[in-house]
This record gives sequence, C-alpha cells and structure tokens, in this order.
Amino acid sequence: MAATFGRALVTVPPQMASSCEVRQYIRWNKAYQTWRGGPPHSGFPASAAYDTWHEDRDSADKRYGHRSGIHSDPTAGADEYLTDGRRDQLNGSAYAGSDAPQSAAPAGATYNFQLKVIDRANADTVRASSSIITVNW
Amino acid sequence: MTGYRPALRLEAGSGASRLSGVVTLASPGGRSVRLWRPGNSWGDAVLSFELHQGDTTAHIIRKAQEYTRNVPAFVDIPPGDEQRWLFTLGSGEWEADTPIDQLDWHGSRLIAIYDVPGTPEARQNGVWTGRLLSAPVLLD
Repeated sequence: MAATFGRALVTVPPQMASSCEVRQYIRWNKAYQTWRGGPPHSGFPASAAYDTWHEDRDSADKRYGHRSGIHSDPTAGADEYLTDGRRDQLNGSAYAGSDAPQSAAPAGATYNFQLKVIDRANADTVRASSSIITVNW
Repeated sequence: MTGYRPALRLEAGSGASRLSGVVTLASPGGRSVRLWRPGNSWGDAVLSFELHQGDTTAHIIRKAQEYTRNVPAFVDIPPGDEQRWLFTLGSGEWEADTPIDQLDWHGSRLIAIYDVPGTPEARQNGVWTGRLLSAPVLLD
C-alpha cells in the first residue's frame, strides 16, 4: 500500500530564512513494530521505539529539509529550498517537499507524520508545526 | 529521454553464491544519462532478473520495501562513467514464484532486466526510460 503527500510549500519567517529548516518527523505504532519486528528500515537505529517521534529519513539516512550536511539530499520538487521558484538551498525562504511512503504492513498498523520549522541559529527552536497526518495501512 | 541507450552489463556466478554478482549500467557515449537512484520506490523497482532453465523461467524481483522518506531522487552518470549494483539473490531481499533457495540454477542462464517506466516523475525529472536486457550469463 502506498500514500502520497501532495507537494507543499512552507514559508519560513523571512527575516531568518537561511537559519530556518524544515524537518519531517515520523511515529509508528505498536502494531507496525510488531509486524515489522523493528523500525521501518535500516535508516533508523534498531533501537528506535514505536509511539515515539523520530526524524524521518531513508535507508541511506537522508532526511528532509537539511540545507547542507550529511543528511542533506536536495531533490527537485520533493526536498528543496527555493527563491522565486528556483533552487536556493542555502538561503531560500520557501520549501517544496513531498513524500510517497509505502508499506506492506497489515491493517491496524499506522504511521504519523508531522512537519516542523526549526531555527538552527536559536538552539533548534520550533518556529512552526503542521498538523499530524495519519496513514492507516 | 529517447534515442539514447545506456549499456547494461551483468557479471555473476563467480562468487561464493552463484546467484550473486554485479549489474553495471554505463553511459558509453558522449553524453551523460540521468538514472533513478536506488533507495526509493522508483529506483529500487527498475532492476529484476530472469533465470532460464530449459523451458522454465523464474522471474526474480526485489521484495516490497518499506519507505518512509520516499522521494524520486536521481543521479546523473557522466559520459564514460557507470552505476553499479551489487546483488545477492539469496539475501532475502529478492523473491520469485519459487523460493530462491529452491531454484535449480545449475546450467541455467541469468539475465538482468533494467526497466524504467515512463512515469510522470520520470518525465518531470528527465530520467531515462526504457527497457534493457543484459546478455545472459551461464551459471554452472
């Protein structure tokens, strides 16, 4: 089964755009963990627990919204910062992201997702949070 | 992207497991080629295998993966460069109609298939689409 998140644009506070970054967090439930026998994939440590928020990532530990660094993985339309519609990874004040999570988990297993904007220049203070999206597999 | 075909090459049968080896996709001409990067549902689904034994063919595909961050990431392969996938079909990541550990591979021929459908994401990102078959490798 698969789910798709539409492309979203998130505007971060313009006075500090370059210091703000988007993060995506994921939480899976006990039914998922029991079925899977652990976290969703090898990008998460084996000790990652259910019913706990974790920063989302892929199996190569690439994560959403990192402007630079080892977790950064700019992808056109799916994980990138923009200025006037053009990629501007370090300074862009708009963020375009999408996700298409997939799982073979049985009914009863769930993922929750939430986006946050954090201020890297101020101890990762959370500047904005999205609502929580639930995916029922 | 049409009119240009990267080159697919399969090397297999020489390791401890005969059903293991490496698949190479090269950009042999004077231009780069854009390919899906493994690690997402677009890039992981493009590679499969066929094991031919007499009149019988086993289709071997990658097992369904779990994706939480799933984005259509691609990589540009410069002219003369290549993308390589190491594979071990008995690793548990692959499946066939018959359990792979029960397949009789002696004297069989293994073929790698690289098949990229023309999805909207492929068109948007200019990723090469098409179907390539490797030359068969005899497993003995």
